[in-house]
Amino acid sequence: MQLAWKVEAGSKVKLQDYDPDYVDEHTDPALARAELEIIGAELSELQELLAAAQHHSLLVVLQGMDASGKADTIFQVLSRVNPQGCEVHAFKAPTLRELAHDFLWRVHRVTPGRGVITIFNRSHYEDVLIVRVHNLVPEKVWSQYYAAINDFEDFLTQDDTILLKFYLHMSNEEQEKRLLARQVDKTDAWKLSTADWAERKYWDAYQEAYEDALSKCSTDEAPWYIVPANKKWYRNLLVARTLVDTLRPYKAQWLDKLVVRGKQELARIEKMQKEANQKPSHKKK
Amino acid sequence: MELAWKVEAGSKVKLRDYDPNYVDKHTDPTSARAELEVLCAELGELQELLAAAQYHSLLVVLQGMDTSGKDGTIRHVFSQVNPQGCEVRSFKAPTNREQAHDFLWRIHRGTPGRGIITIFNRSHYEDVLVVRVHNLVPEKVWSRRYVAINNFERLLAQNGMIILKFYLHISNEEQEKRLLARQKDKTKAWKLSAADWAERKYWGAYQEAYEDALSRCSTDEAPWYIVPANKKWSRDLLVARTLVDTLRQYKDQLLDKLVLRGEQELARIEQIQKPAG
Repeated sequence: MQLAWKVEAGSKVKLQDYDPDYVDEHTDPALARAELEIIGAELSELQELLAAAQHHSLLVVLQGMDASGKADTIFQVLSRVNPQGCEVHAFKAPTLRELAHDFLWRVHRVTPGRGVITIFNRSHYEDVLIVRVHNLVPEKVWSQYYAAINDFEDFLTQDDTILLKFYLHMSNEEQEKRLLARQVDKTDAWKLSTADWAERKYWDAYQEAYEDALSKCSTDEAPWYIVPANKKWYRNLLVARTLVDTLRPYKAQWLDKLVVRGKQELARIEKMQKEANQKPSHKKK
Repeated sequence: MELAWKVEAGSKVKLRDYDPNYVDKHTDPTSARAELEVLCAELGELQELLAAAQYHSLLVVLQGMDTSGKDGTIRHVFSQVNPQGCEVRSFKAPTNREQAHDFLWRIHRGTPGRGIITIFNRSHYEDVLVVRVHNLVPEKVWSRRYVAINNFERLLAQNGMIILKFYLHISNEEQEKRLLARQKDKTKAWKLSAADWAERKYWGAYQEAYEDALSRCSTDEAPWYIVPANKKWSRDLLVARTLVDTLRQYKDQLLDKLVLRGEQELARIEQIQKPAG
């Protein structure tokens, strides 16, 4: 089963080596849709176990250029997951209050607690992407961020957060096509912003910044995955497959944990009931 | 001017080498009180600069055994600081919600933004103190936390946070004296807890845990200071002196920043007032 391309820790990513049009020869859109249905159901089951076991949490980071399909991926892949245990956080330009703190402050506040799945639509990586491309802070500052991110993510995973990061890899031409399509479709036009076209001028600088982020911040505990994203159906399938493939190995462990939790509760109830039976009732006196 | 004893990065602390009864010979309670007044006023001024410059923030971590005087220190040293720019956070036993997250989650939320002074009455260090002494998590877990704390404090310092950590060092005998005094004084008895006496049994384990925290987590950007704290007046004075001494070094920089901010605003106003065309 073809998964998203994992960036091995320590490797040096050149994005031109990855084909954004790639699809594997065993799938086509119809097959992919059927498979996504099945995987979506399995993901939902896994999330129930995760929530009940109360041991791990799951953090999924989605990054990609404008129009690469971050919001749509969330919708298509996670729509079957119980929203009670799943949060999505979109990180826009920081507020004044957020700017008064270190760049990880607003991110750390919303990391998932045990049993919870959190999806980041954009993330702390914007601080080494847009911030770097537009010199919003001096290089001396953003160049320190990579190590800070690795320390932070390493810390989260030590505390039993399962962390996956997806870069939705789309070509320059595909982005242009999608932006133009949005302009034609009145029901899609709300997604547009003049900034999209302005940002396209920085395409290469962004690709370079992504290459550095992917190369410097892919670790065994918190790997980056590159997702060929020109074909939406294939992009969704690969993200779903990679998620399920990562979570499945925890299944037995979560079952054990939730059985233990159940036993503890049962023992407590038994004890309570025993004590209640032993105590003479005041009313009957 | 004698300051609290700074723990140099990388040094190995043995608490018995530090005398909790120590007072410097140039001070007595009366002169200390007078000096504290002056220092508190200066601290108030420095805080105004800090707030106006909107660049640095200040985090003061206070740790110490029960009755070592964390609350008293805050009350006496920060009495002249504008409460609008100063927050005190006490970290008690974590709530269920806090426990669902990593140990730094609740701490990071409570860190000061630019221009703000935040005082931690107890802190993330409890996760290598009470947690370690009572095995609330396995050693494998708490032993990793020293590095996590250093990484975390480095992140904060890189963002312009000034960090000072004070360990209020009292002796076992002094603690007993203070607990007994609280039992006698009806207006102070509310501070008591049966846990205080229970915790005293772990004195040796706590001292060891403190020695490790002080040794492993004192860094140039976030140093630990040991404060001899058997004498309350000397304790307050040393904390105040150390704070003022640290902040004074930033004074010029803070002034520059606030002048710069003023110039930017003036330029903007000029722009608005300029007649159109």
